[in-house]
Amino acid sequence: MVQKSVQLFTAILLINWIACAASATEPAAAHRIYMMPMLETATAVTGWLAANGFHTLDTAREAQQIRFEVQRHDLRATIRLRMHSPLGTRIEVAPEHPDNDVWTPLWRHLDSYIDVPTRKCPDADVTPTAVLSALSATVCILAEREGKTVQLSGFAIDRQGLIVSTAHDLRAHQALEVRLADGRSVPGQVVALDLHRDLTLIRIPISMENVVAIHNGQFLPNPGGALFVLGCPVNGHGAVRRGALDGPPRQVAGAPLWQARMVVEPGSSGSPVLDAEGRLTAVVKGRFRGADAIGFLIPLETLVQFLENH
Amino acid sequence: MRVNRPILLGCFTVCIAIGLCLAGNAFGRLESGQKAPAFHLIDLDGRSHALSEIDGRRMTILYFFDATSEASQGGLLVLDRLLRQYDDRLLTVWGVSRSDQDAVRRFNRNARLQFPVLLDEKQVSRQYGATTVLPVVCVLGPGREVLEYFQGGGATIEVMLTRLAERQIHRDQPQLADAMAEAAIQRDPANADAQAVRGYAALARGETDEAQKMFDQLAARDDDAAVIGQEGQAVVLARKGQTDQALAMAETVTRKAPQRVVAHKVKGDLLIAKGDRAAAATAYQAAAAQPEGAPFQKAEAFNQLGRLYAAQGQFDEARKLFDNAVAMDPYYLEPTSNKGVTYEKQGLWDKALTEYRKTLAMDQSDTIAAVLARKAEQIIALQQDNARNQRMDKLVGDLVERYRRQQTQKTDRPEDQWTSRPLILSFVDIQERGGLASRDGLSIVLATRLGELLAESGRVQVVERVVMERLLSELNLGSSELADPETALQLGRLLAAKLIGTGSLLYTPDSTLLHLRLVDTETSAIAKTIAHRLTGQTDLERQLFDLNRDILRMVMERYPLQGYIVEMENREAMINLGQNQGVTVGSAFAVVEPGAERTYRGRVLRGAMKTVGRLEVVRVEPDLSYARVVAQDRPLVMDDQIREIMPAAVASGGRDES
Repeated sequence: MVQKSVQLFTAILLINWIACAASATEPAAAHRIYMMPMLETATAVTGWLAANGFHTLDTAREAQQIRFEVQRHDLRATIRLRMHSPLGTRIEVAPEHPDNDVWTPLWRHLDSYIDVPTRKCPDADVTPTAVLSALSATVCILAEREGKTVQLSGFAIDRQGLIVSTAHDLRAHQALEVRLADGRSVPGQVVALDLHRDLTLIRIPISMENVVAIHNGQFLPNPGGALFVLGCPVNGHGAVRRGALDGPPRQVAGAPLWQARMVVEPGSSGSPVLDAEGRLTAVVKGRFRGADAIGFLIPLETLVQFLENH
Repeated sequence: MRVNRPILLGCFTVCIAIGLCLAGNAFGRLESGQKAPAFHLIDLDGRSHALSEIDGRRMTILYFFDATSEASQGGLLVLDRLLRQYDDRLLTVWGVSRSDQDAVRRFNRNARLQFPVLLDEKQVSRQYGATTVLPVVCVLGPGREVLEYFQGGGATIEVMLTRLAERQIHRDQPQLADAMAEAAIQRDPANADAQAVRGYAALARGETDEAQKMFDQLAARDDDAAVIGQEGQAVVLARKGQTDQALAMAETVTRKAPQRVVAHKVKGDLLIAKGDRAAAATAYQAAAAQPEGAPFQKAEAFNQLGRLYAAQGQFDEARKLFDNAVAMDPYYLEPTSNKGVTYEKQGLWDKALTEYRKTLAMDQSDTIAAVLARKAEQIIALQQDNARNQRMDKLVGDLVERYRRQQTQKTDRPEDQWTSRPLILSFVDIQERGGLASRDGLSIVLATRLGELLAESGRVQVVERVVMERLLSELNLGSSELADPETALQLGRLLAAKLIGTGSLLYTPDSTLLHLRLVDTETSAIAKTIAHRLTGQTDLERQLFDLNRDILRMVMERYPLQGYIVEMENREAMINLGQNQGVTVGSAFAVVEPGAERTYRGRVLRGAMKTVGRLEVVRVEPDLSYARVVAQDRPLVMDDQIREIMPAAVASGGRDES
């Protein structure tokens, strides 16, 4: 009985030893999971391999995975990409080279690939998509008065071609030209002018694909929260300026105004002011004389009152 | 008899001149467009080189020089310095000399040129007209075609460097263009053409302010070169979106120097952005007809005019103009690719594919040509597959019939309303607005490539592009009809799509704004809005990857997979979702149950869904998966409801120890 137990124990030890020996001969594999779809990860990995002197000997595509056999000098390896989710990929490299430095640059390359934003345009990097979306609803208005042309901004508030802008430059104009973000120019006609609130409503004879919605506007933006001004967008070149409210609302000639820290350029009057969620909060009235970086805004509440009256 | 020595000297000179002319006539200079004569020569290291070696290279410079003349070697040394600085594997330079072999060796011992110097017995130099006046520089383009031919040193070398710099603009080598132009300016600080190339190279790098400085300096000159600076200023103003100022500057230049190309082309670009196509056509025609301007500028004028004709459906005329553009600048990809799109629009897929492949031969990494070529290959394969073609015809015929009867796809309400059905997406239309991009087909590429990437995820089924295009063609629905959101929604419902993608590409002088909306066809709600500035074509694939991720994230957040536990065995659950629904090894699910209900004054108040466990998928089969139980608040059982959880948005890593 004891002898049988010893034999059994020895047999178990032997099986374990064989299993350990077998697993020891299996090459160790390094793995990482990156939050990129598999095809994108494959493009990033193959780009790195080609740039670092690796030759791809074989590529095999199976369900939810891609396998590359690669070689550089004496180093031969298998890189396997497995779909971890539609948005994630698990990368396995085998054998893991004793000199870890071989694959470290690959991990670094993939880390930096994910971190680096590709949208080179600076305003696209910092401007929320919801704000950029409103760019095609903004317009550039050219008003002719006594042979001189004054330029201001505006934005569509309904698809039938109603445009909101400021009134102070449109007191005695003779002709209005409205330029859309796609470069088209159309004549505009003032249908309501409120000099007290400094707001005007212009109609253009075409329908607008995109509008800045009034109904989901933000009456009181977060103090200190980012505000975005969409300037006159000739050929889509609307400058997006960033700023924030600067102090409590004030009354100027009986009308409420907000003061904001933001660059207000000539021609920005009538620009929509949106919060980071893309919600309309105000309309640019103008800038503080002598300082480009202080602007005055007409609150949304005033705009709503103006629209209710007209 | 006294010999009149001046007369004798005169006769001798005339004889020499006639001899030179005869020699020149026998093997004269090569002309642009001519195929370069083939040759086979040995280099200083004894290696053999045949001209056929350059096949497939984008640009080759043959520099014939005299090894004993410093004046003859100057340009060669400049090229050597530049190529050491800018590693350009697609640019080949060979020096060729028929000087005494020892002299050539002595020269190269000092110069240590990094490219081969070939030894000629005379024959090759004679074929290339490089016998009497040296150096001779012959620039060869694709197909060994002579692009430029320069003879003589001194000022000719400056011209050569400037022309070579201009050629780099469309070769997508703005840094090398800048360095070559700078080398020309070092030899002649007043070289206005070279200064202008530096400005255009800065624009190609996206450095508008730097370009403006360079053009401002040129425009401030008080000689004829000022107009070159002004036309550059017009380009910069247009790029900055200052339309009126740009147009005024272009008008000034066209009045002052109507024979120059650039200002006419700027006018065309601005007029088309304003929607005045007739005036734009006149401006582009004027640009294409003018003699003064760099080849890349003339090629751009031909290309834009071709684009305008193509937009009006005048495809034959457009193709002639695209051919002219390629002849002017073979490194300009756009006209070849645009020619392909004209064939595609006429349904001539074989011809379209040929043009796309030509474009890819010039630049394998060109995403637009790659996607268009793949699409053309698929359609050609479909046309050759009779059975599939007939099925497609029948499908499209049925859809057309249903659309006309205002019927939508019949979708029986499933017995199981919790389990996710395949999420079908269809890109209906991406309209192009604003200016006229130099490259046609971007909207086709966006819809096609995004469709490919989304389908690849396994999470979204995308309606085949060919089905949508045939349907639109059969229904005769154009951009104006598709601008109506209801029409697009109706089409989506017809195709049983849960989501439809519509949007626009707004072309501006320096970038393109993509505005994409994904609309839920059941609720008509906008599921996702994307506004993205496409910043050039060099990293288009990367930008498409970004968009793909944005859309996939929305799909996973808004439409998480839902299903049931079919079976439980030893802490392993079999679930009724598999590979066909987009489940992968590693997918995570929450096990959920309805929140407690309370009845208050006759109304049932439902609580939020409650998570009672968590599963992680370990094996996937086509329609089911196996998942290990990661956590549980109570024993999990058959018929428990599950809902997908978004994976953590961080990379994790480590070693597989198993």
